Amino acid sequence: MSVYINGIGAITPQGCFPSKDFLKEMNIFDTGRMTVVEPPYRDFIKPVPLRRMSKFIKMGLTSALMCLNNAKNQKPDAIITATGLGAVEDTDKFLDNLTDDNENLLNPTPFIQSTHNVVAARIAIETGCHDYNMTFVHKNASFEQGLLDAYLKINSGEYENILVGGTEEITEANYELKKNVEFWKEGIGNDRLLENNTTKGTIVGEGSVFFNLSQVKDSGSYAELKSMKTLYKLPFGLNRALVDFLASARLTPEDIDVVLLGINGNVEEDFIYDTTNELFKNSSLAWYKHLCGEYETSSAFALLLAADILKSKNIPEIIKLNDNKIEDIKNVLIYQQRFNRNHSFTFLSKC
Amino acid sequence: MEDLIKKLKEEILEVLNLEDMDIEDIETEAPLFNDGLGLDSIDALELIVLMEKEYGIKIDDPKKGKDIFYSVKTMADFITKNQ
Repeated sequence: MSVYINGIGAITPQGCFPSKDFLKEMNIFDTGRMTVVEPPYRDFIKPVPLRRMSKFIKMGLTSALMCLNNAKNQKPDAIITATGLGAVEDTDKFLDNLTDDNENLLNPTPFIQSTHNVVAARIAIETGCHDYNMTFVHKNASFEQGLLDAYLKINSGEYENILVGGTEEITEANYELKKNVEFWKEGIGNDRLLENNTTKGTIVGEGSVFFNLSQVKDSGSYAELKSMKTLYKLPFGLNRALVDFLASARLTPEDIDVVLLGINGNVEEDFIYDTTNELFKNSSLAWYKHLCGEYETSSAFALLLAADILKSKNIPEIIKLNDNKIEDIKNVLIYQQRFNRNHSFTFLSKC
Repeated sequence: MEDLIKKLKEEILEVLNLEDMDIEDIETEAPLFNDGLGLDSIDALELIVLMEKEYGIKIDDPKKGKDIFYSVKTMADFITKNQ
């Protein structure tokens, strides 16, 4: 079975998707943190459940509902979510309660909502989808694992359509912890990330992006998800891994029109992508982490961009890394890695 | 008593995240649950924690909870009698 992306909903540092102004101009963040532009949640969630939700849940549920609206689908057959860190804000709250009150008098709400699968559960309650409900928590490969599960379930014919997405939030405690191990560049805005790629660290981001995958192509379809692969540490060189992956889809590097790379401005990581310059010398190379920041499920943002490029037949100027002109965009490859450990290849075609 | 009722209303707004409401929106003698303010079982747990944390009163008999948490007035009466 083919797997089509029929709907997308996203809450990102660049605003919400779909929106006609999305990426017309880049939102600049000088604070070192790329926080999402939040929509009016009350337009999507009833007041009673809304008052208990943390930002993580509000972002996740709202982007999932936006996605279903975009796909004109009220109820998915299955729900798959991904998160590297889960509901950190609520977890921090109940752990602080635990220590402050000497393990007594715990407020129930943050505890109940601190589990990683809280977004998937909330979507199930809201949509009435009580079928397969899974949350993948695999650090920087979380979204890819969730997407792979959805892809296999549709490809095998087990489900007709699946809602799949990734959600992550920035919290103060987590930011500070990672600052201590030089995860972040201090005082560098996202517009200057690439010109500051000779030092350690990147810029933190957050966001929630959901996709409605389906066996059936319709007039609103964005792209066809053709194949994907995840690797934990490359067993051999990146070039060979990429060529082998494309060969498994009966393609060569020359067939790829656009390559979206997970470059993040970190001197200890960006050199890994250097080899793609030669391998894809005729392709349009692009990057995306200056738009969404670095977070565990940021590859969902890359999939959004890839699908939108194929549907709109346009590569936004602000993501281009070279000047190669592509007349007819047919094939897009996403290559993302983190710490040279979690590598993923995702290949999409126009439909 | 008036001060206690005002304080209780402020605490209820805060712990239950009733963002759109002011203390004037909570009627002192109106029911907190179901038809009144529309609170639910998770809110009841939050109110039990509030009672113990802020006023040092532990509700030993769960059967009495329904009467104690009927309204802000009944909560204030219970605190006054047991503090």
